[in-house]
Amino acid sequence: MAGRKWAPMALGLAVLIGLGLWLNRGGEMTVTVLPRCIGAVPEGTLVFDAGPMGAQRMPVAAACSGEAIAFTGYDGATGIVVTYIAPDGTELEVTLLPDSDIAPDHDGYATILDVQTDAPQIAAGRI
Amino acid sequence: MALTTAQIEAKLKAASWMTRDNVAQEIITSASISDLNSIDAKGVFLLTQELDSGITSNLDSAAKSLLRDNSQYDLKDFTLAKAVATVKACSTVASKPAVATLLDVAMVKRLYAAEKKRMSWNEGGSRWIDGDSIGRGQLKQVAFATVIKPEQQGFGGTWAKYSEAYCAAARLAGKQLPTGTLRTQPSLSFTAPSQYATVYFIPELEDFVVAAYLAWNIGRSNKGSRRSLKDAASFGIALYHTKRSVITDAQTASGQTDLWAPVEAELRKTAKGADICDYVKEVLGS
Repeated sequence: MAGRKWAPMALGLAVLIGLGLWLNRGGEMTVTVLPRCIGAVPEGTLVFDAGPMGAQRMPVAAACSGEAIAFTGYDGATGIVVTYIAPDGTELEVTLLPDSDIAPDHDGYATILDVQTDAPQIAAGRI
Repeated sequence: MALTTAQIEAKLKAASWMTRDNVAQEIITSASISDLNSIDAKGVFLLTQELDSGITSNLDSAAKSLLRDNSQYDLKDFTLAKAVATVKACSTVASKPAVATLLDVAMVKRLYAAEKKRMSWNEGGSRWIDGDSIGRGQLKQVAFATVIKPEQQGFGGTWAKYSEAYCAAARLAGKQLPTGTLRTQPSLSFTAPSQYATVYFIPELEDFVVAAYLAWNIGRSNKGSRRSLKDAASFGIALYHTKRSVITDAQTASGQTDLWAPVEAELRKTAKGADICDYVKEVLGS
């Protein structure tokens, strides 16, 4: 009979511990590129090369309209190479560096890419 | 002549493990006040390890009290003011005018108050059911990982010295040290804490981390093109509290990146954004 009396308390304690563990759960870090597009958006394509985390390619307009540019598995030490390819095929490359350009951002890491019509069309940005 | 850690270590090693506490007592009682004051953190760890191990006699306790009363490490010194001053002197932020001018004890206190006001029922009260942002400053491991990066990127060297000095003072006061900081085997060594979960419930260490992360954000926002220190601090405080994407969206919408006022006006168009602006005002104290 004593076991029956303690069972609800043990169950309650287990639920509380489970809740605590769930609230303290961790996860793989994500690095997000945030295009900051001031003024008219240039035509062309952006290629984001995050090394072992993969690569993404999209029109500049898509990047500036909020399409997600995120890479999971960020180790806090890898840079992201961004290449702007103009409609005439000319390229401009910018490397977003860890620590100086890529910063911790609550749920992971984030980095800002300034985008503008005039040259240079892309540059590492800072809040 | 100052009593060195090497001398302390050699004397303790020369004695059998049975008599090492007596040797520790002898080292302390025969030392001058200035010698006791000059003993570094490792020396304090070595002596207290012997005095605290096994059965603690009255003589062990008396020697420990003598060391504590004359040591350079005093728990009472680890105030919020000391944490803020130590952070501001670090080379990572020392040259940033917004940090030098605007970051002070009152600002960190206001930040704690602003965070407390926004905590949900499960946050701040218990270690076990807190969320993934933890403590009075509501920071995550990713923020702490930035604080403990080497100087110029973070505050790593300063953090190591500060936490070691705190642990020496805590050891003298008989307080618990953060998990994994002191290794006794194969030889005694100190490792600065690298997990925020083992740090944040020690207010003296949490003060350092919160002040450092706030300083780091304000310092990064204090860029050349932004002339107002208050604007730099406003962006820095906002970044401490919210995601970068929220701020970049407001910058893009306002077409302004350096001034806070147009970004604030944009943010205030939503309830969440208005709360961020209120938070900034509360912490800035204006």
